[in-house]
Amino acid sequence: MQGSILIFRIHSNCHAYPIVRLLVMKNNRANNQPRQFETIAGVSDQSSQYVQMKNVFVARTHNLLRDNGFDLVDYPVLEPTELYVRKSGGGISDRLYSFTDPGGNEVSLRPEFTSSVIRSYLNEFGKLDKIVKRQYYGPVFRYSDLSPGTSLRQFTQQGCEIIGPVQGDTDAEILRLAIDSIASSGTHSLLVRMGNVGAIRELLYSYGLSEAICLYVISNIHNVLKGDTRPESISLRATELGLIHLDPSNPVDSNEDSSRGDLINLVESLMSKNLSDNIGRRTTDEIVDRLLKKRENRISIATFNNALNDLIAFLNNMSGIYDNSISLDNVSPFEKKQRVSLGRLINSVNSNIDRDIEIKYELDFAPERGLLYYTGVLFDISTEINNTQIVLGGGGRYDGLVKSLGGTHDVDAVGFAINVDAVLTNS
Amino acid sequence: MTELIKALKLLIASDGALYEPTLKFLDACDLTVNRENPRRYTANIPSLKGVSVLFQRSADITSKIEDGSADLGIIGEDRYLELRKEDGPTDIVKNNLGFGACSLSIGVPNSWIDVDSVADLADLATDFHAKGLTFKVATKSPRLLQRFLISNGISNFSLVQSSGTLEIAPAMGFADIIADITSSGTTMRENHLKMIEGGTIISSEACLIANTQIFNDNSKKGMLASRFVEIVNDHMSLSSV
Repeated sequence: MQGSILIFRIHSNCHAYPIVRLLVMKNNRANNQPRQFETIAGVSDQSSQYVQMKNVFVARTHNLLRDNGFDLVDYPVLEPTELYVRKSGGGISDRLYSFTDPGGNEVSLRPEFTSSVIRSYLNEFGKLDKIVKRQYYGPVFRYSDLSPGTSLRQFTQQGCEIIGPVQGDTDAEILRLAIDSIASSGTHSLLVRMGNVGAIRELLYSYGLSEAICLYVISNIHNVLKGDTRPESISLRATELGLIHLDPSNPVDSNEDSSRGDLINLVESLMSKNLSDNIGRRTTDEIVDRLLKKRENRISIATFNNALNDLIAFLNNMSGIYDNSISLDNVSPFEKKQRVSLGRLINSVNSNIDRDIEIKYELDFAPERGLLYYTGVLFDISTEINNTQIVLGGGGRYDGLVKSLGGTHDVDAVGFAINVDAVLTNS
Repeated sequence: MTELIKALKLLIASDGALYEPTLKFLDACDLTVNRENPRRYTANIPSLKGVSVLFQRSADITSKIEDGSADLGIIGEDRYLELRKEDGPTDIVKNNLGFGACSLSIGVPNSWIDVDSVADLADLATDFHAKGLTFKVATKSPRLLQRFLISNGISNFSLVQSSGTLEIAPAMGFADIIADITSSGTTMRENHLKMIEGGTIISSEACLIANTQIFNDNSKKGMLASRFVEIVNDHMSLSSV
């Protein structure tokens, strides 16, 4: 039968390529045993015993969240790829399981739930500032490094989100619920690493840095703190990229003296006669306005370096295990404000946790994850296994996400999610 | 046919910009390819018996060498870096072979007079994000482009993969800017796009790649692979004198 297929292909196709392919396939079949299938890297079968244990944990967490006013909602496993890219930035693309569906749509298996929660919130309530408290659980998919302790690319995530202008300290409520959920697995000690992205932005904005420069600094600061990159390299690269200027008095463009009207004429003259819309999705006004803004907002290398050095000093001070007995007499007003705010949050959480568990708090204002969309407090919770911290969950505040995903304005939002499989295998 | 399976297999482009220059390059190395007729997709090198030359689409060469269907290949470095598996068995044995020069570069509409550097793109991407829009970049090289954008502080972007004509993307509206292969920039200019400062993602020439396992093979095939590389290296050394 194989031979007749081969002969048919040879006569029906003049190109040699399929012939070579068929011969190779035939040779493989002759030499190899029938293929035994195994699970792909990063996913696993789960035993009946494990599934029972997981169901008990998920139900317990669900009850805890339900008792705190969170409604259980389910969301699609497949969403438009752009939803996740819009939330987390283009860097997430190589961690997504993405494909083009038969209808030609770019879709991805969900890597987390928050994007779906916000999408659903906008679908349901549009411009209304409705307060919702949602909880969820289910599988998520991330093409991550297969590191010990978190070696699954498909795992069960469980979490909750509070969206809308809620009164009260929702940061503390979310952190307490996250700790309580994980602690119910029987873990005896947890490390909570926490920081505040809002503080970093506030400090950088105080020097007049633009959002683009802030993002550049935020995405590189971790390497500076680890000692992998010197601050001078960050400044040099920012100069090479044109983000900052050696001499801000130099003109930023050759049309420095042109009026707004001249610039509008220039843009229109550069547009194609055949393709009047080759301006893309931008309007002439947007282009000219941005050029004028660019002229005004020139940042010198001296200002940039001052901001960077100030940030590094702040981040170095705001690191290590949290100690509430530290004197605030000799710290800067900005640092004092951050320490007082975090201290209040930690006290609130500790006074509301009724469990026999050791919780250490470590300050980490420049974590590697989530800096793009978090806008305030962010945290992750880990446990130590064989001298390695295994992250079990995390969360924080992301007040800008509703607008980023299509809302008309920023809406308060805070939440957490835990990796149920990591909790169960490391408790 | 059994001989073909045992032979050292060299993959080269079956068409496109690299086809003729690759044959000329091998000719200059005294490795002239003998192809019986242009419709035949296999050939040999009379001066190095035991080498089979297989003509493949450029896009397939890397994966065929990775899966062990072939041993060596000549391909554009940009395409190899785009398609290779990070922890795969292939590597570049010799780069900058002296032909197939091109660059993968960013192109933005001419009319964007406020944009002349990558820093402007970073700023613009945040503007788009603040308006609830995604800054879309059309490309055939998503992997190289993604790394480039992130390393330049641009996070708020979405890649639009397109196998067709990219230069028209901003005008059609399916992307805001493009990142495309260009050798002189003429096509971009003719489509009212301009290149920007710092916007070259990679400058590339043809390179020789191999499934490195072949060099651990003590059989005739392994020795042939080493001999082939040696001949190419000798030719490159002479050319650079």
